[in-house]
Amino acid sequence: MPIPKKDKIEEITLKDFQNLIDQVKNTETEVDFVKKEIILIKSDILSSQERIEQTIRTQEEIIMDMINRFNDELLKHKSTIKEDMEKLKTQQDILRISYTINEKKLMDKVDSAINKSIAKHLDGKESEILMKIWISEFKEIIENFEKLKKLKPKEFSVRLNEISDTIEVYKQKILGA
Amino acid sequence: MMVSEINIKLTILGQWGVGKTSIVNSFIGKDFPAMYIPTIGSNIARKEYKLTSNHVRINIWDIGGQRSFNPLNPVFFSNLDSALLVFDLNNPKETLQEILKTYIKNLAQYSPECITYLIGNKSDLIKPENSEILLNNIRQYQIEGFPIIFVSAKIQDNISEAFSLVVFNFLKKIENESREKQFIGISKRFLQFIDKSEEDLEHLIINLEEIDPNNLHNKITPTIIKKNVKAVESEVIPLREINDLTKTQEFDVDKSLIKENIINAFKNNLSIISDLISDLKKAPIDSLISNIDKCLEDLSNLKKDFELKLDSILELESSKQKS
Repeated sequence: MPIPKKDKIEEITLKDFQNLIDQVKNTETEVDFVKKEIILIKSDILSSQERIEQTIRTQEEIIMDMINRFNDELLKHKSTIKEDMEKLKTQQDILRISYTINEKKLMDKVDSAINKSIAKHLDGKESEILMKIWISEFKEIIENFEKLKKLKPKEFSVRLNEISDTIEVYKQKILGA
Repeated sequence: MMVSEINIKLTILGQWGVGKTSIVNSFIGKDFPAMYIPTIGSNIARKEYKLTSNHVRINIWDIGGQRSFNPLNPVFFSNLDSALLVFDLNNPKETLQEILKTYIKNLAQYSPECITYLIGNKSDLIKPENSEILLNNIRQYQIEGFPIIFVSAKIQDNISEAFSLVVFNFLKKIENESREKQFIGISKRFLQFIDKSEEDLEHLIINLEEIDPNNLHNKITPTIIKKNVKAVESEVIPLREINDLTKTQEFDVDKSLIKENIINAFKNNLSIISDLISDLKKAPIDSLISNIDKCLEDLSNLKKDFELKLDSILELESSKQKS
């Protein structure tokens, strides 16, 4: 209730004063109420914050737990995979070695079969074949021989050595046949 | 001390079966063959005399006498230093006729200055009672200007001496023709090396005008059987000319032996090529071009010879398959 405005102090009555006191009291009550309300709200907030924090911690723990379990699982899997990979690698190595051995065996067999077949066809004719090869090589040597005259001494010597080496190779082959 | 090399190119020519290869084999120390195997193309043999300041190398081209193998190819007659014309003392008519008809003509055309001897082979088969007929037969052909020597490849009689005579005369020739210091006295050094006198060598030559048929047998019969080869009672086995290698079954000749012989000759000639190239490497610069030309000529001959040898083997093989 609004306090009546007085133009002069002498005019304030006791009643007015009493009203004023009441009003102050009411205000104080209200302030107290508000204070209590604030405390309550604060308490609520705190409690709510705690709950939230707790919830977060719980969630966090759950997640961490999940992560840990995931990690454990991952590690487990990793080690299993590593073992499997090792096994696979070993198997691959075995296969590779076995393949190489078999390939060599096969190639040896093929070589031997080809050699046998060639030997069968060439039986006693090795000399003739070498002679034939030599004659065609020799034709070329003779064709180039005329050119020797035009060479400088150093080139001449090199070319003659080449001819000599070629002849020596055939000589050894034919003598060995 | 510088050692110079002297190469003598000698060709041994004559009808098939007169014993050219046996003469060469006997000279280079090979065994006398148990049977007649024709020479296909040409086989080359070498013998070296190592004198103190000169090495004298004799390159002997043994030319197959079978007409089918073309022994009259000009390549066998060119650039010769010496030639031995071989005839058969047991068949002088036919074998001398062949020499007169073909070989002498070709030699005169392609190598007119080469030192040539007539060699009568198979002296071991001459019987004393046939001496006169033999001399008359030889005289009949009047091969003048060529000294005659009688030899036996089988018992190695007069073989090395005949070759020595060739080398001696060749060395005498270069001694007279060349003014090079290194050749002075070389023929005498050669005689010392072989431990013979000039008379010993000249004594080999048969003088047809002067020789008494009664003395012929004594002259040509060897007094010493050389190199432990025993003279055996020999009979003349008539030879047959092999004209076609595909028909060897008609002759009593072992084909594999012929083939082996050809292959060995091929190998031998291949070795000769190595030697020719080595010689060329050592040739002095001033005579390099002429040496290349000579070498090229020999190589061309050898190329033809290789081809002939290969063809002969193929012919033999084809005859094997047919039979």
